[in-house]
Amino acid sequence: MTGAINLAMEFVVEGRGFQLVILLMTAIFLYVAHRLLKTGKEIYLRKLPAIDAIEEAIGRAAEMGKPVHYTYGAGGGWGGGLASHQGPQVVASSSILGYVAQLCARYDVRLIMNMMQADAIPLTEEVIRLAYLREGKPEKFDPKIINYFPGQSPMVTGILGTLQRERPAASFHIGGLYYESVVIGEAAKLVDAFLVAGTANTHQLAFIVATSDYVLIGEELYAAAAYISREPMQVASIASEDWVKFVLMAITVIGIILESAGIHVISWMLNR
Amino acid sequence: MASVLRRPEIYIFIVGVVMGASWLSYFFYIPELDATVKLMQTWSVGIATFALALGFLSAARIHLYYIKRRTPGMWPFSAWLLFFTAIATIAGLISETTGFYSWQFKWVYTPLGATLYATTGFYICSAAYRAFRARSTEAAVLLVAGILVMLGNCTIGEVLWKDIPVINEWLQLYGQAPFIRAILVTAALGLILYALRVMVGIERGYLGTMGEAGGG
Repeated sequence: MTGAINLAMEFVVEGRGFQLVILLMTAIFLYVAHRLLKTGKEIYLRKLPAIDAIEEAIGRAAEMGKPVHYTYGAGGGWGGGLASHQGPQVVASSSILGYVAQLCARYDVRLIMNMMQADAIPLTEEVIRLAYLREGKPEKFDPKIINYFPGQSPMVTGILGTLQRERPAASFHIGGLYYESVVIGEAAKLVDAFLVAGTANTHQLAFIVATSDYVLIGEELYAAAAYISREPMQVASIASEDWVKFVLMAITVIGIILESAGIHVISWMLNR
Repeated sequence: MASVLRRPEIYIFIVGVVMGASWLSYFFYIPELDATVKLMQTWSVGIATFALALGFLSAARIHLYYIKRRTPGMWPFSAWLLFFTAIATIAGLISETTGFYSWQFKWVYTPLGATLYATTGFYICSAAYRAFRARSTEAAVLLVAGILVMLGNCTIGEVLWKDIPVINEWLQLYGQAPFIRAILVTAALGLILYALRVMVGIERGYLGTMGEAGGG
């Protein structure tokens, strides 16, 4: 057994073995959770208040006769675009945008999309177009919903202008947020917009918590699409993520005890 | 043909192959695959660069619409934007390190960007004011911690009480860091799961193809 593991480790890039184990474990847990769901077992799915609040926010906009504003923030808007490390947040946010656009189409609320990710324009346009199509209102889709800004400061200025002119009833700032999180967050509050923000950028979390009504913190941004869809496989993925968390917590506790006792098994394992 | 190209299965297959190759190359020593993955990464940079033209077309479409309709309060700015874009493009094609392009970037665009960034301080103040109102126990704890950290970062803090910088350091190193790390670890896990879902085609929200309830 040890020989087989050592042989396998020969092919694995040094220092990435533990990451590979986590990935495989995640995939196995995903399969198990899906099997459990298929056999009729109930899996607890914790609530995401920010996602539950989306319908309320758009309902508010419909009642007030005001538009809804959405932005991905600046992440993924420069240096490699969607292929950068901020790209996944933009892609994950586009799934939430699809849900927001669908509700906007359902309640005849005008949607305004401000973005600076040039390579995400076709993706965004298609997501919004299909949302209108799903609601049976393809004629209501207008490509001019999407406003592109070629930089962070131009985008922030543009959003400040949009918020002042249009006074949206709700504003969604979900994606790889940078300094704009506090600027547009406060500007949205000044026009009394219902604000939902989400990011995995830890340096902006304090700002979105301070400015927003509801927040999606870190992994919640990635889990949001699964939470909205409620499809068994998607629900299974959230459950499996929680199981991996328990395993990691157990490894952390065991690691603290063993390292304190001078046994360096866990640190050896993490460095493989 | 167009309807075939719109089929999500095609995109899911491409995404699956690209992500699978990238992961294999990341975890295993496969020199032949490394070269292919590097080539794909170069392509992505190329695509992002071409996308800038797409961005320009998207912006031009909206601003031309405003100009054509003479939208009140909008069209003069749209006209100015398109005019300046044309001037900057021509100047940039002539030389991007000297002349007008370099001048306007250095003395117009950069100071304007810096000015906007500087306003962040004022927005942080108003955000902090609302966040620091002690409406609940949690908000009160945040208020006390925030005041201590602020005082710890100002020279007056040490004058008021010599231990304030020590408390500030403790709060930042031991009070805050573990929670940030916990969020980072869970965000990384969420990203792994998201990538898995995208790779195997469970997650289709980014393609605009949703589940019954929408999303996903």
